[in-house]
Amino acid sequence: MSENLHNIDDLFRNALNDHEEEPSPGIWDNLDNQLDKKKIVHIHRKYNALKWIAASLLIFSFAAGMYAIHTRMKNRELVKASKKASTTEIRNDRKSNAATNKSLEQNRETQDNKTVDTTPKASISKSGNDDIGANKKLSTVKEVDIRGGEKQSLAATKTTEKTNEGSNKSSTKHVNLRYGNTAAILASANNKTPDVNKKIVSSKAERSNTARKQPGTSETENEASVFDENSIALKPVPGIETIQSNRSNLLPLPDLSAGIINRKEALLTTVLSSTENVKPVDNTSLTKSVRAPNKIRNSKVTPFSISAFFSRDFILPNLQDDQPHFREDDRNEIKEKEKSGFSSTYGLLLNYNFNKNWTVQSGLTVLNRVTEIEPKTIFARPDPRGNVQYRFSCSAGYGYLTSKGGTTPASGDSITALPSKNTLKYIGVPLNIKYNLVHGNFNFSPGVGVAANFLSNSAIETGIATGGNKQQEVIKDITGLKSSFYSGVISLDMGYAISNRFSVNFIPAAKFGLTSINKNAPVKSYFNSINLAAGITINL
Amino acid sequence: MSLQESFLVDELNKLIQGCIKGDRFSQNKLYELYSKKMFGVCLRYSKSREEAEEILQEGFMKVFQFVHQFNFEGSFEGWVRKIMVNCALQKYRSKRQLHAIINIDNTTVEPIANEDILGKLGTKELLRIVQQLPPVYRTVFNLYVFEGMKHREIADVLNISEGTSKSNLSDARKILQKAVNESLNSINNKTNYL
Repeated sequence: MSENLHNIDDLFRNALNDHEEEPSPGIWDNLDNQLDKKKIVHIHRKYNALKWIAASLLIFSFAAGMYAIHTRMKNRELVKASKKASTTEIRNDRKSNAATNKSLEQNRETQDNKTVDTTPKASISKSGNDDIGANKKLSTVKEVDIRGGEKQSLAATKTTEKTNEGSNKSSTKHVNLRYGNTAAILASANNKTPDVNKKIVSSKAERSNTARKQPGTSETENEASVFDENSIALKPVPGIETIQSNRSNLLPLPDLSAGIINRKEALLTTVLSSTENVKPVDNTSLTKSVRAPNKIRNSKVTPFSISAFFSRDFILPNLQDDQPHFREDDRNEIKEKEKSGFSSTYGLLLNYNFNKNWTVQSGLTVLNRVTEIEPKTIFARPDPRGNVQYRFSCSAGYGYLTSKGGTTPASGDSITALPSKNTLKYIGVPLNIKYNLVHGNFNFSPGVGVAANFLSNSAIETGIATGGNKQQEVIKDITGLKSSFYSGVISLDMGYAISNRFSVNFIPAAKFGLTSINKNAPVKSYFNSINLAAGITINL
Repeated sequence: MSLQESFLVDELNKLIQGCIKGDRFSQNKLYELYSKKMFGVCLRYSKSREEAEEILQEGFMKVFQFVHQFNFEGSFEGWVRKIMVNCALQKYRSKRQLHAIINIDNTTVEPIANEDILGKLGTKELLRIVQQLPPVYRTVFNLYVFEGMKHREIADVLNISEGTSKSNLSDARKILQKAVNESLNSINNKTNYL
């Protein structure tokens, strides 16, 4: 029987060992095509590392663009506010100058406005220190052509100006008059008393073309304010002395009112007041109004903020069978031998609050995962090239130990690997959305998000005991490990604002792998973890 | 080494270097040089010509992919052959769960008569007999007889026990003996009939 068995072995060995046969000609064509495809794959892999850099740059450039646009808008608002402030200053200066040139003004006014009756009781409330008549009322403004003496009702306004879009609201009432290119309008209040109070409407004439015939609007750029020029009033209005004394050290301005009167375009505004309809103006609000630009500058908060965080990750291993070829590829055995080491995540995130409650968050994170592997027996297996080497399997994948100088092992030979460590490092690009619930200084933001994680470094560090010596081995090329994976996150960001600009955060989160970190490996491994993060947020 | 052998080695090295550079002409030449031999190997590990062609194609792809790792120390043909065998084993592993369990009847197999079997049956018939073996028997038989592997190695490669490897080889031989006898009888009957 034994002889026969050997006979049959020899029979087939002799017949088939050197047997050659022509394969189909289509095989080479297929190979030719596949080799072309492989080239494409190589290029694809070659630029794979650049992909995530490009994605990161795209996100950051978008964020930078948003920030630039926002900064430009903010600057524009500041310019408007500062212009408004300077207008107020000019008005005050003019008033001061008008006081010093009181006698001259009075003479001219008397000559030019003979047809106009004015009243000291009428005044126009306006922002800033110009609001002299705190108890005066505003109702109707009438502009009268000086030349014809014909009264023409141009505007009847009573406006409330919001000095700031957010916090600073002023209840100051303005009469805003715009008239063509006139630089100022001489106004006089007409009442039953013979007192003459001349009202000058100062406007930004250079911009008034666009705002022509739009009485009542309160745009800062086109604002025209009417103020009392009590210097020419027969009976000065209470309060003007203070302003005059405050401004007495200023240089006198040229006689603007006289020039205006002489211009053909000048109008005479008659203010008819009725005390019942107008509320008194609080001086404190005026002061606030004057200081508004500074306050705007200080209280302005951008929608951007930056968060830096560090997180301790507690890994919840999730292994599934994939392609176990050998006995050491058993999922349970791999799971038993492995335990999570010190894993962490840290990063820098840019937050954009697109409204009061919702925040979008993105940036860059670095994920370090360390897995400690207990000593275990590894076996020599043929690698894809046919060389027999010791094969180390773990939850991330497998790799071959390059035997240096030692004898080449036979397939199936075993050796004991000392305590080992599997280290994986990923660069992550998260995209989170959060809902903000503010309670005093505390901020609670539950959120969800996804992240693309790109492998930046991987290694299995192990040791082999050879004749009493420990030979360290590092496997850099872990077969089966994918270059990227996607993960999801559910988090609760609990923040405490320690100042307007800074807040500290504690962020518990649950992360779960949407895709596995490997494929065509003994086991499929998913990154699931509970993360406890602490960080700081800086409002820009 | 004779002059001719030396020349052939130089030519082969040039081809390998060309393949390392990704030169398609060199790759084609290398394929032409080894495809027939390797196709013979693949045929033994597969049940059909189509399956063998799949293994051959995958094997050559790996050869071209990893040719830069050949260290020029051993036989290049042996290196290519190892890759082909590994591809065949991968194919076997991927389809292992689909393989049917075979029951071998315990009927005694008549010993092969001492006659010129190869001359009578021919290589093609013997190859057909091997291909008709159940996959696990065919693989064990190939690894033991043609690759010279020991049962322990076969057990590790196929993730089976050493005893199973021995048993499978024994069963494979029985099946082959039976098939050879049947083929011989069939030929003898035809001859007698004529």
